[in-house]
Amino acid sequence: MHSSLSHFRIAGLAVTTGSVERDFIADGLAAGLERAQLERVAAAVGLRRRLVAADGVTALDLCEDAARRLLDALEVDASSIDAVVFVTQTPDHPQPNNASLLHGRLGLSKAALSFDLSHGCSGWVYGLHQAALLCAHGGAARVLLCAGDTLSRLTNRDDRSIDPIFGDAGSAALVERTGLAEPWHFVFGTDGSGARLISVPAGGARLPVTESTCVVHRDPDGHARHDGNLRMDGAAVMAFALREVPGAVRSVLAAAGWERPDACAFHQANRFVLTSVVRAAGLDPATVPMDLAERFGNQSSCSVPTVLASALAARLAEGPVRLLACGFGVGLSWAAAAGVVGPAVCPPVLPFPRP
Amino acid sequence: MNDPELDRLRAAVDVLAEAAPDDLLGSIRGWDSLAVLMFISHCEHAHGVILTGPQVRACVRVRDLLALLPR
Repeated sequence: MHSSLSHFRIAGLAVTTGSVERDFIADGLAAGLERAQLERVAAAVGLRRRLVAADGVTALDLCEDAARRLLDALEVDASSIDAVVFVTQTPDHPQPNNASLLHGRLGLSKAALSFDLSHGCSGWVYGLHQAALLCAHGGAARVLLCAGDTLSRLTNRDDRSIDPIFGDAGSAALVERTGLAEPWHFVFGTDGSGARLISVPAGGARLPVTESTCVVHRDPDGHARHDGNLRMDGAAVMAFALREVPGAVRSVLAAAGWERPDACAFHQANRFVLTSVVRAAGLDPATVPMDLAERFGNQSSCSVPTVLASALAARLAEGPVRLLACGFGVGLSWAAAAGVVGPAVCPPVLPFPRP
Repeated sequence: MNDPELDRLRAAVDVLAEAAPDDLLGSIRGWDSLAVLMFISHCEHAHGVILTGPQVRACVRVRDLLALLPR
């Protein structure tokens, strides 16, 4: 689906990461793996360091910290927020949703609209689209867009195919209605036939958690997981990304009338996947930060915000920047957006709790 | 006889650097999920062909990988 929306802007964005550092090589050695093989994977894929949430810290906590820091930096009164959109697949509870919980924590107006949006790696662009709709057509002047996940909690420590990948983080962006008529362009896509390629089978209504869903099995490659663990078919997801993302990127750039963007914020799956996708899309690699997964891990819905708040923060502060944002993953789903950002306030990326 | 496609494959997938067409993939040290990703990326980049995971996993020997590439 193509969509164009105007009369909104991103006023600022903050990211809060988990506080526990995990090292790919050290973890692998502790698991009994050979250093040479670990070094090979680290170099080829770009797995080095990641930050995961401390015990008891959730995506809601991380997003709340990001939201408080952002509102402070922007000197915005929380009572002026008209809507909360919370993108996550790791909410605190099945009910109520994270958006309502965050609304209560921040003491927002009772007139505010709030809802969760269940999406992963493409989720921030989905959330931006919803926030923009609320500003452009929904009567909102200020929307707090939060996106965060703690996927490291969903993997099995003995599943080396996926456990070393994920970092935890939460973000908050303030999207405001403006008089600016210059549109943003969005391209979305879904391939539900591949829904099982990235999944957590147990824990929902279809397969509630029982004693049997907690029984650990090993796949033919020796990776251990139970039905409540996240699993991913890496080769199939790679093929999906190469098949779908370059076309979405070309479409959204054509809609914007840009030969090339000033900067790109791609979902940081890992450096290997990202390099392949960017090459296939015909983008200049120099315009695409690709090393965030090596510093923070794959942060699912928060990886695009982390690119903005770290690698691109200085440029966004000076603005304006013609930005291409793109996410792809669970669903299978993909989303690309092209629009002008900045000047925008981006407080430093910080861990929670702080040291 | 030299096979330029085999040379490109050897350059693109690290664990196949010294592979011969008749080599069993299962006997090649390091032929793993990362190597599969490298092969899929190579096919897209060099040939514009996007292979699926099952297509690659069904290969038994190096020559089966080569057979997936357009000539």
